[in-house]
Amino acid sequence: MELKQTPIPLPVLGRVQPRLALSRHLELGVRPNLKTPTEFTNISVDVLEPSGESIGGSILRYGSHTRIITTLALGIREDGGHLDNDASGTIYPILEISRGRVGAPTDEEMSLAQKLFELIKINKVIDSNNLRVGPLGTQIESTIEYPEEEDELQTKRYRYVITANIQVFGRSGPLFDLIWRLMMIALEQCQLPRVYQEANDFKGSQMRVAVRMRGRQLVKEDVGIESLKFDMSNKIPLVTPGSPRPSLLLCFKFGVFEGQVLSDIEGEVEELSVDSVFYLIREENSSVIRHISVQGKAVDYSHLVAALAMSGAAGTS
Amino acid sequence: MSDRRRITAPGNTYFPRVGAENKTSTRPRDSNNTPASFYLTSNIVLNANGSSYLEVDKFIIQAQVFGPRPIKGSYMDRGCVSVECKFLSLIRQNGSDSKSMSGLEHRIASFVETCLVLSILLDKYPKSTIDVFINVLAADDDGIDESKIQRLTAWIVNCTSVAIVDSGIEVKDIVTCGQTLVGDEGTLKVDLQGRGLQALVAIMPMRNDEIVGLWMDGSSKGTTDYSLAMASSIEMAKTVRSNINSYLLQDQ
Repeated sequence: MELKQTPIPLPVLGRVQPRLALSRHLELGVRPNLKTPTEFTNISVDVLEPSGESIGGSILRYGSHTRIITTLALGIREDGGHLDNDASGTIYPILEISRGRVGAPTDEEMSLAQKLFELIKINKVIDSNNLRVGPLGTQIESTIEYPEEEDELQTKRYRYVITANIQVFGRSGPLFDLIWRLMMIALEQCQLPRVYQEANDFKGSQMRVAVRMRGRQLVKEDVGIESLKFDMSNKIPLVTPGSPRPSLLLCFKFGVFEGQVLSDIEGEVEELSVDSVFYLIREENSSVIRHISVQGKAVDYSHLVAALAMSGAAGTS
Repeated sequence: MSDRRRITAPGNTYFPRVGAENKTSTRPRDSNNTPASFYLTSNIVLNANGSSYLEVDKFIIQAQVFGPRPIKGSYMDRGCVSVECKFLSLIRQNGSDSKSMSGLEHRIASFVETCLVLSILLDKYPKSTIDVFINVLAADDDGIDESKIQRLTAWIVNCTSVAIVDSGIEVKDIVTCGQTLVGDEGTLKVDLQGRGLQALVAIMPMRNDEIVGLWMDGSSKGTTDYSLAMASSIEMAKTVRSNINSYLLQDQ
């Protein structure tokens, strides 16, 4: 009996034997997602206007189907004194990847959020001083006055807390580079409202500055954190103008498959078959590398060099 | 207890109610007797079985359908449907903190579920589950409250129905929804929110306008208001349905 050979279409092969499918694609010089080995998928990011509860945010479009939305929310807390002496601040991200299930966060969600939390700090994206609430203003009738300098009489210091809610729709591959891009642009555009108190909050509302005696010292009356007001018409940028722009820190992802570096891996076949995935954060228009992280097998130095060259070409275009 | 699996803000953080400085109001519509124009598209999320996206006024709604998926456990002769509804964190909801799932979300999800269960041919999907996830991505600047929930729900039902069609799950008919308001002064307003008697009716227009969901809230001056609101809601549902039909036909 003659056995007939059954050809397996490539999409099916990608499901059952992703490594074989990928190597066959690469022999032809094109990847399963129809990119060349050094090509990057188009990314576009739009800034979201503050609305409702958010003080900013951004939306990222990657390829034709991946959409990521982040919104930044503002909190305030009392300054922890010496505990808050770090030079660099960070944000508190909560990440959700839409996958048709509910419940506890997945490992990927947890590790991505942790990575973002740490790398924002390590890369000194946010100056810790910018998270300090400046001298509190005082509202007298319809005008708000802000003292030039920190008032000696003010006993409590406050800090801004920024939380980010990140929603991923249509995940098509490793996500950290996309989340980084999105977050850098959101943070760059983010503005923090100045904080003031209403004069009525002081005891003895007729007085311009309420003071009381503590021993032989004059102390400004404390008001509860809940009664602080936010001046939405007077905002300070989170990132000081003139300092290095966060959006110039570009993040790229690469995969290594059988000794070959593939840019911007995307799609199920590539994600399943690559030996390692690595991320590279570099400054735009310079060769300074800020961060490299590798998942999976160890990566050769030559792979990094190749990746750096690819990212350079992508960064300038 | 704090959630140790997520990176949450320090415990002593207070989240104030800040809002946008300039509130943009929804542009008034020309006529009170026609539903608002809307933008609808489907099949936008690749890793869901079906998905749709709808914009109407300031609402942006996205629905994803996953399934039929097999369930663990003993054999069941029919499928089951679950609906989750979530507002994006930036949407302010009156009377709830942003940390827990709100009452509004629960109410919307259970209404949508009631409507869908009656339209899906569940006998065709034994021992499986059909999971619907609804995300409300944007709303008016001043948030969502009781007075807006019905109008939002109407559009969520319409959006979800299209996502179900996109997923290829067999249905008796596409459920469509209409919403009307009979104002305090007795005037009828189609697809508008406000004070008075609000009616939300979900029907299956191809099955003799069978009503699969009904929700009425508010006060009225007499029983005629109820029949008026219901009749015009069905009318609106039919108008929306003919729009959905033409969308689905040009999609082929």
